Amino acid sequence: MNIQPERLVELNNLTIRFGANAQSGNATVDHVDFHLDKGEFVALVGESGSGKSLLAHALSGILSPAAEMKSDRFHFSGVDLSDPKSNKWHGIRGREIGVVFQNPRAALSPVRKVGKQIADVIAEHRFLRKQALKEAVLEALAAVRIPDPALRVDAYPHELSGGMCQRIMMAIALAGDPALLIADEATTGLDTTTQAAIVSLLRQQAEARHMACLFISHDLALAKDFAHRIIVMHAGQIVEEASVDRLFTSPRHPYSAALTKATPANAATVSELSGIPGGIPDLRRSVPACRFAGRCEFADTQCWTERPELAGPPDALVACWRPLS
Amino acid sequence: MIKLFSSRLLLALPNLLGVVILIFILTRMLPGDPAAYFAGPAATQKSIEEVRKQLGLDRSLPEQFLTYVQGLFSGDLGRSLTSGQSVLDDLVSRVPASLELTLLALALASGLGILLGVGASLRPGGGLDRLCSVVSILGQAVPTFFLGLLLVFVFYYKLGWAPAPLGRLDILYSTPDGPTGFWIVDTLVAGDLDTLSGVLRQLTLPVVTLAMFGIGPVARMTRASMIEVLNSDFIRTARAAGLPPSKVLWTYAFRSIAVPVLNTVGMVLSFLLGANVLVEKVFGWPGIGAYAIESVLASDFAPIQGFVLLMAFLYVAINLAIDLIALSLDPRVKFDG
Repeated sequence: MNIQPERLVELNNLTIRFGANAQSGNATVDHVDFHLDKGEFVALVGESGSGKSLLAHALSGILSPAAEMKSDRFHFSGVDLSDPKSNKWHGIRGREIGVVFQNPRAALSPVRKVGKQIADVIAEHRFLRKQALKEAVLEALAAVRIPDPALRVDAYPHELSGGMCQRIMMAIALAGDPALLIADEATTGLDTTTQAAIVSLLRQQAEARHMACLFISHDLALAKDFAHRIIVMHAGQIVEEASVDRLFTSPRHPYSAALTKATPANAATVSELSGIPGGIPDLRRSVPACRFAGRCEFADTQCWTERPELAGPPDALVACWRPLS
Repeated sequence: MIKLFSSRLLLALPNLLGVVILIFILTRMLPGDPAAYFAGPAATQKSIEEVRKQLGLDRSLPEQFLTYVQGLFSGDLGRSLTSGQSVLDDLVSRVPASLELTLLALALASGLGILLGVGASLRPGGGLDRLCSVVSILGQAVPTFFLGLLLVFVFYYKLGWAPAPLGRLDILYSTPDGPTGFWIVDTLVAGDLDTLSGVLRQLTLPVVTLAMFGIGPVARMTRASMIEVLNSDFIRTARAAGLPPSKVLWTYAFRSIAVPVLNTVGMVLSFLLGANVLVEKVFGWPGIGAYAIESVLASDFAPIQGFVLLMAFLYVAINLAIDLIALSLDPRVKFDG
């Protein structure tokens, strides 16, 4: 018996522009197709400035009012969320979609006890009050493995370590028992052991609650360990989307190939590490149709004039005119 | 908390000592001879010398200073020439009138300033933001006594909505004699709502005049801090967590800027105590400000000294109170010592 996995998120042709880029016509997130099944773990990788976080903000309903979002389809659990101001977001934001941000200490209110911050969110989504709320907060703290929850509820973020704050963030993200957890660079800025602990906690919680998880990172090694499927973004475009195994053994987009070569885990010595020439193109100026063309050794005129569509078998989609074989 | 309170109080002592020394030196440097004033216009050189001896002005400055400080400790601020009363009694009987006016104006200025600032921060460049700029600029640019006169002209003389600017209560009412001297409180305690309405009617114009002066700084500080904090990471977290906008705005955003706003409110209170002096004169308000002006005009030095010293005490007390409130508002605020 073949059970078709259930679609959780369906995004077609998503484009996000900012006023500043409207003149040059370059979208900050450009023609992005994205889907996520229930319980699926997907990693979104790319350099800083590739539009990963912007996509995450769009998905979690906190896009800045200055951003202009357009899409052919933006469905979450069958609900149309294409309008970021729609009141359909109420009941989904924070409840069905939880987000763990980077830099956890700054991402928590500095003047409110962490227990109170978790309680605010639990009260909002699970309608608990008083004693029941108190117990739920302690449970939430225990679930993210905070030692001595009864002691920590009265702590302020500045009294806790970065890793501890990230666990508090997770407790907030999990408070509504969401169907989708977005981890936006959730491990950036933490030391390596803490990173590993946070990632394993993330996986364990997501599996226990049958949540889908979108893991956004510029750390390929972490993404590889975490996800079933990897999406590679460059300058606002998705360039490759493949199963973890395929992407790391036989990447098809030159950018993905360059990224995997630039990952320390794949190199024995520092000298074997290779950087990627150039940088993310400046979207305020005119850019080639394939935005990687300027940095690509295989690029020809077609790459500069015609945007490649994401195509190929479902576990090895690539948007490239000259894919590696 | 008690330890902290006492340590802050100890830190305030040098400030007060400095003020006492300064007042002493300044009054000794003032032109004119107090002994001649006290002796009266018909006095001879001999009787002036006698008075000088009586007042202790013939002794050396350090000796005089010691006597002055001793007097301060026993609550003796000298005697007013014009009223014949002890300066301390005069001030004590007048302080509630000034404080009632100033504190109400502060409450109004803070409330309106915060609302205006928060509203302006939600849409920078929008209508409320422009109103915020206009109110701040006008409030700072128009002298308070002028605004007071303008309000009296429009609302008393032209429209007849406000009562005559002749003090705290129309003579039709009997003076409330409660324990606090704050007439709003006293009439409320006595349940005398009729007199309360009279008190409030007299208070309205001077309170608005003073408050206009304070709205600007509070609104501008609130606006600037809010704009910054609304873009911060933890507000993004609160939004992404699905908290309702009002909760994000007040519990998360505003709560975190409470300390800079509170500091501004403290500063405004100090301004208002100063601005009070002229506003009281305009509205015939029997407070300490009007008392100080009358004393200056009459070259009556003891009340001026008493007034300056009282103001210094109030400033120190306000700053101490602000620091303590800030400490309870923001867990990150810590004082050394």
